[in-house]
Amino acid sequence: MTTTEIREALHEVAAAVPAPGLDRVAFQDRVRAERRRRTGRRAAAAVAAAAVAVLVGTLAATGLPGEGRGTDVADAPDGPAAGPTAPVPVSLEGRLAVVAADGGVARSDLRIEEVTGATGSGVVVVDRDSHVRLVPLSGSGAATSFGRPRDLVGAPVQSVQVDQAGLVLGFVDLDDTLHLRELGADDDFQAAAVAAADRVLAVDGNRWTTYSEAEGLVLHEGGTSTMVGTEFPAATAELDGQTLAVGTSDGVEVFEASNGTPRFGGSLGAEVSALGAGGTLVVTATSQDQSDRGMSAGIWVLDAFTGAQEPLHGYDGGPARDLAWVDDDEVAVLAGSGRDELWACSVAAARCELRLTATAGALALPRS
Amino acid sequence: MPTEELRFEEFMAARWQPLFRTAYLLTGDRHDAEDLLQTALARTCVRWDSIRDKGAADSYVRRAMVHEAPRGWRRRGREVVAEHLPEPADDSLAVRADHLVLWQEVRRLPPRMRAVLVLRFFEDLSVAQTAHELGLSEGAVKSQTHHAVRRLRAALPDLELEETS
Repeated sequence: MTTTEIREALHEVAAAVPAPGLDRVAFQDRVRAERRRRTGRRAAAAVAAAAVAVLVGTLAATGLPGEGRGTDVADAPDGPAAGPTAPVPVSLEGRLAVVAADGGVARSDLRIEEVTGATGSGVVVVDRDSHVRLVPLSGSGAATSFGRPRDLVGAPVQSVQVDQAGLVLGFVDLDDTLHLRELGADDDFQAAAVAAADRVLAVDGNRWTTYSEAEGLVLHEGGTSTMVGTEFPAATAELDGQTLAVGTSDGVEVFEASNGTPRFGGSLGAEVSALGAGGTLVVTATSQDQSDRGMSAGIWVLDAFTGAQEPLHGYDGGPARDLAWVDDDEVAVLAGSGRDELWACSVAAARCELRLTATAGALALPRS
Repeated sequence: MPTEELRFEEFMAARWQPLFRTAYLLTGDRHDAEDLLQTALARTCVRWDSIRDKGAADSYVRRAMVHEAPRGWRRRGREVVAEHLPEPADDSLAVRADHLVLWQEVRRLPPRMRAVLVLRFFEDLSVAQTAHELGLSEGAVKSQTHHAVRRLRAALPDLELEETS
């Protein structure tokens, strides 16, 4: 007997359960409530955006917002920064590839499920057998060459995360244990059981977040667990420094990483977002859904502490589908209608450039 | 009534029953299924004009149900238990006895694991499509399927369930 038995049982049960008639009065009540909820949320987001001061006069002149908090900005550039130059590791037609600043593409033969993240040691990917592999890179541009992939775990995993700094690997094995270890190390510095229904969404040093339907989003550090009260179910979470950024179906919600309290009292409305290294900046983009509702497409950089935001210029890719930081300054954007467009943006230069176009569905960005 | 609402009415009338069945398999409870489906359809209704491919509306509602279901679980977790006792397994369903036993065990699976089974084996989605709808990696979908089958096999050794790709 095979899983066909499950299939047959589900279909037979579904066919046998009587469907109630539609309660139109109750349904119209729900539609009205949903409209009120959406209207209120948009109004709150607009008020929040208008109330905050405009983010830093010029990002290029003063360095990144938030750097003043406990760090100095002595290394801020003297003049306008150059445009985006960092190579972008991507999944291209199911294989690991690197897109150079000039649009040249270096393709590997490695078939992958995802690019997990870029680190100083190479690119972390999950291959088609669910093994985590670190692929060293050498050379530059389209001449980038891929070193021998190293299996970082030695067994299939359920999920894997790399922290924002690219130093810590977190993975859940097939026995529902979360392992935290320094990238490239053979031993864990921490391990913890994870309930089968939990998803590990982010790791950062010895901290991690889980999401389950029963518990919601939980922030773990050592032996302490803190419930994080998101307004909507968490789809993604990013954790770095003092910031926990949670992507929900209704936008990014930002929390204090120390205690899980909301920093802005609700969603900031951006439906595509990515938290930068250090936890001081969130890059956001207009989604297709937001564009359909009349919002202008664009890329914004948002101060994770004040909510102030500033647009990045030169972007003409329409609604975005995904964002990923590729280093401390540069962000990759996946966009395009009827085709995939890869844009690269420099926060310091406040500028974006089209890097590559590909057939629809061919491109995927690093996940963390 | 605006045109788009008329079209939504037609969609809802045509798809209410099949979508209810999916909701029932996701929740394991008829009252919860009706609640979940109404919420997902209300969300779909107010966004109807932004759904360009109306042929994909089923998928939109399904994703709304998958994403909305956790709120129900969390809400019930805060309620007094006596106010919402889970519906007992419905022995009155006219299904084969061994399928009913299997369904009872499926209802006991963790919600996301159950959702993986429903999307893969009832909605006939691929591993990649299931991963996309649930926000999981393909590896996680495979492992959730593996764990689900392992649990069902342990609970029902006589069924001798095996995994197929």
